[in-house]
Amino acid sequence: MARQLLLLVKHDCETCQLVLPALEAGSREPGTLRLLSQSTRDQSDGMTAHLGIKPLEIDEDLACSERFDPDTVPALILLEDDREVDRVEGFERARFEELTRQAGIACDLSGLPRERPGCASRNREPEIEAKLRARKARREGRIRSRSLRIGGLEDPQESLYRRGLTDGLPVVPPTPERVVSMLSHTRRHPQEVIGLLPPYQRPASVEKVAINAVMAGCPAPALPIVLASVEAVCEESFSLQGVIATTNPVGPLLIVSGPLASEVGMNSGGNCMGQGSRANLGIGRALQLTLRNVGGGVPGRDDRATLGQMGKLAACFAERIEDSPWEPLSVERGIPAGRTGVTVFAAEGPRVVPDALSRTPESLAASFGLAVDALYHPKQRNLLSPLLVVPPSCARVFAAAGWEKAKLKDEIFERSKRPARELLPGARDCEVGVEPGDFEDDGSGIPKVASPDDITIVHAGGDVGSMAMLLAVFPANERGSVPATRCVEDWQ
Amino acid sequence: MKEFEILDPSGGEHAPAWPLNAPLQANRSLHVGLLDIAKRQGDVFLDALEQRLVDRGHSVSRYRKPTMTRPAIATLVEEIALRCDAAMVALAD
Repeated sequence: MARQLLLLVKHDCETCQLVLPALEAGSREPGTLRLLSQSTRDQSDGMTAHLGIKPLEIDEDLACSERFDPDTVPALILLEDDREVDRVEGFERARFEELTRQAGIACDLSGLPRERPGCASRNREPEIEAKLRARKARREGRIRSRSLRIGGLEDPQESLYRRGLTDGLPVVPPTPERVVSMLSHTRRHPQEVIGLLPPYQRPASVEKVAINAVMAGCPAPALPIVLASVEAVCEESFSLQGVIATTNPVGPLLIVSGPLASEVGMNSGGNCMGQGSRANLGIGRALQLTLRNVGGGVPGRDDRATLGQMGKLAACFAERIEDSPWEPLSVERGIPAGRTGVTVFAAEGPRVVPDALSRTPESLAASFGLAVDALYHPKQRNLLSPLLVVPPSCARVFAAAGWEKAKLKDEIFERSKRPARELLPGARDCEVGVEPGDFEDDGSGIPKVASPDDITIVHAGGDVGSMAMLLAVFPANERGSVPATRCVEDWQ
Repeated sequence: MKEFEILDPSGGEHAPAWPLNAPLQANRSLHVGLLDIAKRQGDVFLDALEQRLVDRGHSVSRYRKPTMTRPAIATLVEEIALRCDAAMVALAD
């Protein structure tokens, strides 16, 4: 059995300087003791000259430090056939004597103190630790993406924009260290493919999603939400190809319901659909950047939106569950209570439905029904699925009257009806319209959607203001895009 | 500032290359597939296109997707590829 001692030191550690001269005497026996410096050649030679000992071997690229991963130097490691069998971190005279004796090294440590704490090993410096983790991830095949080099004189933002890798806003450069740190928030293997993203049917691996999440400025603990949202948009019935390629201004809108939303800092309260929440915006933007960069849905080329809308940068908010009178959207859509669901909709931009005067649920529902009737094109029918975001001030009116979601949906459905004659092509001086016979008319008018179940209702927003928000969503059928929900905890 | 490394966020690096066919010869009769994606008035555009192609001595087959919101199914793409020299798609309105 070949035994060898390894001593890792660094130049600016006083304890290392204390023990080196005594151990350097033992290292003159060939092959049994390696003295390795974590410092640069210049730093290390400066130290050894000061101590009056011969120059040390340099731990090139911190390869040994990475392998043995000590917290503290000096670190004395005993190897047997190149396998670690014992170690001491910091200085303990008795233990140093024990290990040197086991390795058959004769050195006199009697003049040294009984013990002395060491210093943080260089592999524990945050920046170096991150680099070593990234290097290891690459070596183990967990990171496989091509490396792009940003020159020292290049503006990284300009460079990334010119390469066509951004949404127009500045991004966080996705260095390997940042991506590996992001990946530490999921147990999934980085090379696991979540799905193929249109229009070019390219594989969205966990690694690729993490890279785009870094660029988006997404908080790292929110990565599982982004991964679950990518899984959701890959659901065939969501029809992502159509959502990307359409001239319509729809884009994926995410609603997160459940405990993880607040844990990662999402906003479900005031201005939750606006600016100000890094988590809301970062998650929504991460999905959009993934679609653009991985799937290749580039605006103006593959994304054929006539005008688009601002929500195509990032559209994501959390459902306000804690005081909602209704069960969460995620539970409604099959996710167990207590877990977190993310639901994706192919949604247009939101529009407000202000109503500060209604004091009865009937009147408030009538406001919502009228607004639903006017969505998309007022004279068209069955071409959308309304998504209604009800703020607490409105929800309280329904809760006080004991209205469940189903009753509210029924009422909105009824109130969205319009007399058939007003919907005919040419009526109201407008060629758009529905043909007689396309819809059954019992005399009560033609509803906006085929069924009350086409309406989705969620609870979110600030405490003050009777300002509901309404969005037109692609119709939830085989001709449109069926919303998809996925469990976030599955991606942690 | 020193040069630094970033990871490629795109999905194109491992994508297979799609070779292009040789350009078609304009001086011979072609069989052209016209695909209607089921968007309103696409048929009007394709009717006009078909007439122009036939007037120039080409033949035409018409195809239709069930809905504009889904990609064409693989068997339809395969049929067009096998039967036609070229395909034209009426996309947006």
